[in-house]
Amino acid sequence: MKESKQHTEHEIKKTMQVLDEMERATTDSFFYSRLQARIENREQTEPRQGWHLEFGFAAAAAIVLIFVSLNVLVLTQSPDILEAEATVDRENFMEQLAADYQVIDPSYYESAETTEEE
Amino acid sequence: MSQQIPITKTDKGFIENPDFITRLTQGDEAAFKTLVNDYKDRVYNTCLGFLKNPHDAEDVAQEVFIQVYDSIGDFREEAELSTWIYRIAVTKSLELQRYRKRKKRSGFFQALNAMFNEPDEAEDESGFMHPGLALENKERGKVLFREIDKLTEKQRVAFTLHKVEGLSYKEVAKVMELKLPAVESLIHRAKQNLQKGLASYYQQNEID
Repeated sequence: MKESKQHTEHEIKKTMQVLDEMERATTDSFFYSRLQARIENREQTEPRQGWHLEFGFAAAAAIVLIFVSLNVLVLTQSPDILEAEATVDRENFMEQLAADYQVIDPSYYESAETTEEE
Repeated sequence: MSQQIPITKTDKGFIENPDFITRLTQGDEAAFKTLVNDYKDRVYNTCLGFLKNPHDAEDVAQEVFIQVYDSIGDFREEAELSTWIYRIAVTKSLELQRYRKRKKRSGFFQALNAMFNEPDEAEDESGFMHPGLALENKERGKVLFREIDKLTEKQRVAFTLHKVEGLSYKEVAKVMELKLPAVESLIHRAKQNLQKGLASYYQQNEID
């Protein structure tokens, strides 16, 4: 038991010492050339990305503008449309009522009432 | 074009003369090349210490220098150039490490991804052997790096900068923007946790 503990402690100590003897990892001598190529490549592709970005913004702005215009158009037109729909509904209701009670012309009663009064 | 730049260095080999930094901030290509050649191994070694993959480390090291190239104009001379570069290296390495961990956690999407793609070599860090280790220490190093990975992020950063990159406590404190006692405490706790982890590993292996 004691031996085992000592063995574990020895292993831990040896493992912890590993980093003291470790050397620094190095890159090769072409690191700067690869970096330069990456920077140049990025600089060449960036203007195109910028163009895409600008176009994207313009397209998004145009779409938003179209939607806003359509909404404004609908809102400005809607009172007339609602009024027209209400008139149509009233006329339909009167016709339905006349059909249900088999009245040909509802104005008949109005004229009949006026004659009685006279 | 590749004009020699007179540079003075600290005892640790860090560039410190203001003229060089001025030329760098003015976009001097020769100065940038000198800087890259002077720091590439330090940056690469730091990144490798965190990422445990040579391809990732090379990629992130390049990104570090690209950021230096892009934002050298913002560099404040009250901070040391080396501190600033190390800070970028640590930040970028941790960003990639967090990204990889997030990717591992999203098991469902990973399984889907694995169905349609080749297995990602970069994700296998378990068999990492640091190239700077002596042959007889490779196996121990593998075990140790696996345990380092289990430390908390701050402990891992402090320990890696100190033990893998060889920075002093004071330099680690500057890079991590912490006070010296905080760094001492972090490294002390990291060592304790590593010893606990290694004890458990060796006991387990003895049983097996």
